[in-house]
Amino acid sequence: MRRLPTQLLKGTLEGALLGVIAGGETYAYEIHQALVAAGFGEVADGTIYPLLLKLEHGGQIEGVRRASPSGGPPRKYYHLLPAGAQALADFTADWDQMADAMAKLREAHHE
Amino acid sequence: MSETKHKHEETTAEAATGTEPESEGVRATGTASEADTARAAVTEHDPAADPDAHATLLPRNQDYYDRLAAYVTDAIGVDGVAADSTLAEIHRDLLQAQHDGIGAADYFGRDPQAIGDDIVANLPHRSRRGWVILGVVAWAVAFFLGGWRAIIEDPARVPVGTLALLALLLPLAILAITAWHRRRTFTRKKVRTSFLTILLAVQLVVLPLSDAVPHFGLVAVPAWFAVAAGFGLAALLVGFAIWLGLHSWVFAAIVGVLATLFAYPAADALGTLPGWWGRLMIPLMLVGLTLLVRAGDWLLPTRWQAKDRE
Repeated sequence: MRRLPTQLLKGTLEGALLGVIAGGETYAYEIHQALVAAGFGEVADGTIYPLLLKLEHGGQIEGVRRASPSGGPPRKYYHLLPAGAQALADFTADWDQMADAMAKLREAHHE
Repeated sequence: MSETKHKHEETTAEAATGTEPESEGVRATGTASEADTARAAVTEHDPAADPDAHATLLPRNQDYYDRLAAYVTDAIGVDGVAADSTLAEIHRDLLQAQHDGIGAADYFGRDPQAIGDDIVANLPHRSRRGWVILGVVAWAVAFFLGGWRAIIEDPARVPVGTLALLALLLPLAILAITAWHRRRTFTRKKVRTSFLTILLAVQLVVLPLSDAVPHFGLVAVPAWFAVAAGFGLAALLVGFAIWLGLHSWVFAAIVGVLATLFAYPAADALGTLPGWWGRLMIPLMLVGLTLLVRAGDWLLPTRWQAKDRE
């Protein structure tokens, strides 16, 4: 798996985070695991935290502290808010448009 | 990818044995199956089979976390409660990563200063109103502490003008020292609390420099004011300590010392006590005020005491 360029990640990670959280209530470590498993490669968890803070401050997600099932210290579980769902929809539309454009360019190049 | 895998196995071996490699250059040469065996061994012997059961980070990971935590919490103006909450989450993640055989730097990022800057930028900060209130409180505390020092030295010539000016400069000096201390978080050998740096810098640099400032606005403070201020500040300290309700002998002793620093000169202004009473006044005050704090802790109903922060 290739390590994705930082600039490419910067433009997509926020949308990716919203996509993971849209799948169900989750916490930071789990989000990180989901991103790695999805093929984002070695994404440092340190890049995820500032984005989670930004999304929370922007009212797109909400974090709720909940006791850990194993009885350990409480964790913060994030879920999507309506503004986050809208932001995700906008990102998905932009992504689809860009993916279509790239596909056409590649087609033209192969021709 | 293979470099990451080696690091993965190295940290797994460390997590299994609870030890650090002898040097940074040493790498575990185990295969993936040996790493799995090590992880399984930890799981087998650990009834919870859960990262929460491993309550501590390995030294290298702990150092990483401590430096990041110090860098974030020392950031000027950052909301302390929000910072603590975020850092607690990061600590949990590092524990879980360690349990999965991933070191802190590999998991969280190899440039903790840049990450710390990003985290600080996205944490809530003190509002303008909060800064104004803090500024006023800081000025008032610095003015009263400096004023008390001046009253003890020479109540007939208290430089109120100089004190008002220095009370503006002292909080700014503390902010500058904190910022300087923070810049060296990732380069100094050991993580040190900024409190010690500030205390040393104030005692060794700021206070001697402030003595060199010309005195102006001289007023004579009457004895009754010194008595009222001294006993009043001591009572305020003791009352605040009781309200905090920390139920700690160490904390009570510290408050006892500070309150004695105010109460003793006030008592002295009333006149020197004869004989043994005069000699025993300081230790008697110290013990008495400490016991007063503990007694107040115990007697004051809990609902009237400060609540713990989450």
